[in-house]
Amino acid sequence: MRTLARRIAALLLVPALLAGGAALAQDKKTLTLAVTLEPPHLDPTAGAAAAIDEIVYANVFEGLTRIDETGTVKPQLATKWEVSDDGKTYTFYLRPAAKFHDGKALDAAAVVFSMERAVAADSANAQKGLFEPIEKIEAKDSKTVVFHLKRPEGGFLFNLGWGDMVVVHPDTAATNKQKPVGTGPFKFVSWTTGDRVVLEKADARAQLDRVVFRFISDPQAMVSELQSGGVDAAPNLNAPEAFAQFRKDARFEAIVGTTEGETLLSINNARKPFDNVLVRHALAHAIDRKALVEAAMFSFGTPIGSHFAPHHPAYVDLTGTYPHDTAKAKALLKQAGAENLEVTIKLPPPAYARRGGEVIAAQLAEVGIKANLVPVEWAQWLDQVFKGGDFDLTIVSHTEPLDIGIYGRDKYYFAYNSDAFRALMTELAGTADQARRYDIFRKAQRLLAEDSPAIFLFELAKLGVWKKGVAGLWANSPVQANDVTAAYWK
Amino acid sequence: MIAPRRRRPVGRLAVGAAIAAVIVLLAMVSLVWTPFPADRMAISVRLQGPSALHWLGTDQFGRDVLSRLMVGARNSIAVGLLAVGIGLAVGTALGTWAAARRGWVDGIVARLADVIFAFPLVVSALLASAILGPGVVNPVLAIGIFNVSVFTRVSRAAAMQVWGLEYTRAALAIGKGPLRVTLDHVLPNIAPVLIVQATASFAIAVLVEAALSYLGLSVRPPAPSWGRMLFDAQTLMALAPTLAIFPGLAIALAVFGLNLLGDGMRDALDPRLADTARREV
Amino acid sequence: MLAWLVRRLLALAATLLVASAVIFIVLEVLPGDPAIVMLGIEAREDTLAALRAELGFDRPPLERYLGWVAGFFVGELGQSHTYAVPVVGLVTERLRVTVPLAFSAFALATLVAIPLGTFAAMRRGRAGDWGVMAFSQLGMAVPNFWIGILGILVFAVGLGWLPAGGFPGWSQGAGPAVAALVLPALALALPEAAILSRVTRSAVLESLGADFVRTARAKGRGEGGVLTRHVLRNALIPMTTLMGLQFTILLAGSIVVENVFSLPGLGRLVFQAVIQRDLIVVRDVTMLIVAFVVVVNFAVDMLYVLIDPRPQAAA
Repeated sequence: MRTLARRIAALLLVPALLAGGAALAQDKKTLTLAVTLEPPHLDPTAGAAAAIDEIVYANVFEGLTRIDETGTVKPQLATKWEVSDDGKTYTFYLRPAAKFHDGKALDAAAVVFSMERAVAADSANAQKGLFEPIEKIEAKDSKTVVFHLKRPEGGFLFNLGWGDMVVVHPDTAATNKQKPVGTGPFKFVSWTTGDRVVLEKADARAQLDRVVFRFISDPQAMVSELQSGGVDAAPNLNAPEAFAQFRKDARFEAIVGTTEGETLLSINNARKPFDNVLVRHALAHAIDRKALVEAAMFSFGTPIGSHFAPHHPAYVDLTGTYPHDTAKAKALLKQAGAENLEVTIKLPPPAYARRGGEVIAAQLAEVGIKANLVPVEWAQWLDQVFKGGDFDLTIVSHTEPLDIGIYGRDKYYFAYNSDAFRALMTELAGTADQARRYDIFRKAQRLLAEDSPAIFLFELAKLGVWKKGVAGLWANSPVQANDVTAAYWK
Repeated sequence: MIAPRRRRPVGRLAVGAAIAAVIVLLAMVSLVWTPFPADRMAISVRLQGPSALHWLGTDQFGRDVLSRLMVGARNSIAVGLLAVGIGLAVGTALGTWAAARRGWVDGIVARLADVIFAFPLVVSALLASAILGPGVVNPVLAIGIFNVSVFTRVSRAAAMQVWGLEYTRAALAIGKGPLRVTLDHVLPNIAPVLIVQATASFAIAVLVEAALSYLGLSVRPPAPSWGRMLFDAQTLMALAPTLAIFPGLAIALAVFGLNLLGDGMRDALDPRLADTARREV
Repeated sequence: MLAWLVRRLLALAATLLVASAVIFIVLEVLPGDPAIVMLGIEAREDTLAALRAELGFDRPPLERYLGWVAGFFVGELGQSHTYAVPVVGLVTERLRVTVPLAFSAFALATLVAIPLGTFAAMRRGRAGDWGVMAFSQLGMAVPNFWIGILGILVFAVGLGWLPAGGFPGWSQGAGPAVAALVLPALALALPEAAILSRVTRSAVLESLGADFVRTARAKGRGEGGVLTRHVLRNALIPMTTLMGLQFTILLAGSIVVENVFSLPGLGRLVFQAVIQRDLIVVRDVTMLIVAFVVVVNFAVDMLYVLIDPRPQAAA
């Protein structure tokens, strides 16, 4: 009996001892990052999932231009470009040494192929709309590409920097979903589903030998992996409640950055009674944004009053338009004849939506609105809400940069059909002068606040945590990406 | 077999019954009164430990944990009652029918129970959720169907024994039909077995419902459920460890009480019964 | 003996056939159009049609069912919709987590429960017995996922000895991978150990009172010899049944526990497939689990015969 007991004790102890040695000696050439979502595949030109860009953007795939940490357009595959005086012709000169990871040269033909593939009728590109102004693309010579636009497009160079616009090779385009082949400083090595994607240095531009992206959807697990050294960095810690403890911890850098994520309580404007602006105003008055940010995001996030990022120079502070006022909200509902309202709020997986949904349901209850919460996964959200328009209300963060234009789109899921707003967007597209563009942005913000096609909640904060010694990671997210091309260990 | 000597069966029965009664009582009280409204948020007092005001503390939205546990108990009890009710009604009907008819009916009923047993409870609940989405109907369906096979087996075996007795044969001989005999003699005789099994199955139902609501496949928020409270607590453990303790204690206490009650009743009603398989999470 | 074996094998095949039909009907026939389940009711017709074509939902159900069953015999399952890779590959990858987890939990439960149960039986009515039985009652009442959460609270958040979740993979060496499995295995094993120790205790008690034990004692055999040669051997029969049952319970339990610890195992695969409506993965993995349960039960029956050839006469 005693020997058996000793054996059991030994068995229980062995793993504990092994665990003690679990903190591996860190080599300074590998960086392991934690990301929340596992992408469905790895081709950024064939899907809307931000999780794809979070791995491959700038690291594996490159576009003609890129967007850097400050949100500015920088050269990437195109080292320089010329714009004609009428703003309708762009000539790009490609980087001479650029080649794909399988050794094939990057030439003008690949660029033309990529763009034509993206606009094709059967294209799965999520941002087909960005390619719409393009009339014709031609390869002038093997390293020069000319774009002819239908009309001047103020944001064209910025748009070319999106992950959806990256250049792929005709031979590998079909297999990029599983085995991406791009031109970036890192090449794809392996993908263990449910676990990790591994990238390796492809050329001298990369400062690290190896980059590992690990999928850790559980916030507590992410926190624990950071503390145990299982990951070196969590560029987007999805646990605001745990962020404070990293700030106090000398082993880590904990940086609050900005994102382009306007978090909304989106409204189906086509559905009764939300087609009535009074009901939408009532909702706006019913929400206490400050309490929401505090409760759902542990105070990380900035309340907003329209669809615009507070750190942008053209931002107008409209947070005071609809102060939290339950009496006013009730009165508006009464006026609209929409008392005893019962609504459904569809909630995608992120904490801002799931937690935010519970807070908003409680706040709506204060003004007599009964909210049923329906948690959905991203696939269903995209399909039911985004594509299908089957929802009353939903909570979602629109993370694309300068995306106020979505309110002018036809058949967008808000079903906000405003000719006044569309006129503003058309004016914007034809305007190149910065001061005038900013003016239009301001007008658009005010119009949205007035019409309230969605309830503007708050701008998401980027909570980045990484080990001291890691450098070159983005503090802000102007686009959803984890650009590690400049990352290194000090 | 020599019956192992039981230690104070009445004690177990009393303790089990008391625990179960307290939980049922709290759930019923919550229909008319809870210390705080279970859904009311108060951010200023969130993530507090137990205090004189909030006996079991507050959650991430400042909601009162005790109030939510009380309301959550209703959920566990409702799922348990429905799931056991389905199993008891359908399973007993099938089991006694098989015992009365034997032959091909018996064969089919036995095969059916075999097939159901091939599906672990969590797996059938996942199957239900894959089609129906999250909702309280998933655990009810999954546990209910599983219980059909449990009660089929239990009632069939017990009914077979009763059919083997002299007086049931005598009842047949004086012209009573199989249905009459089943109602008059078989059911009253197997009732104790069924009651004991129902208690054990209730405990299993509480455990499985908790697991499913932990996974987010049962009731939807903001309705409180014990399992979901544990899920929510998991990311907040560094800040408010008690959040991860009380809902688990509630589940464990309920199951503990029901198990004791079941054991106690078995000892009191029919000491010859063997240990029933009692867990399937 | 042979006739009995053939009958058992036929019953096994029948159960598998019916179970597979149930899974297929629930997932692909009852909902009407599985493509709508996967994409949602508001999906556009062209997307639906593309998916139907991709997954072969445009063929008649019976043809699909037969194709699916045939696939099992040649080791070809469907293709995951979410990951766009064959399910076989996904499953084999995930088994690298689930198999070690289930086995170590099983070993742990057995190693704890058999000595405890035997010990309790030998000390019947005394403090030791009382303690073991109290442990058993408590262990049966606590849900495995709560043990997991408490384990994280104490050993990961509090002491920082073990990771709170996630799996570093076997490629980094065994140490970190084993460390990641310690808490999940304990969480799975504890409730099972509680039940097994209870059953062991009553099985040992029963055989302690049996005639052959008295005979052996009368022959003057040492207590240790009696215990191992006679008592435990006889008690093995009810214990084997339970352990077979428990192995399948552990597999099902790992669905919950893998989610507590974010372990990329089979359970998490099927759970995520459910929430992402990847019906092909749900269908194939549930069938694998069900087949496993049925086969283990069959194996237990066989083992039963090996240990004690009597039941076959009764069967």
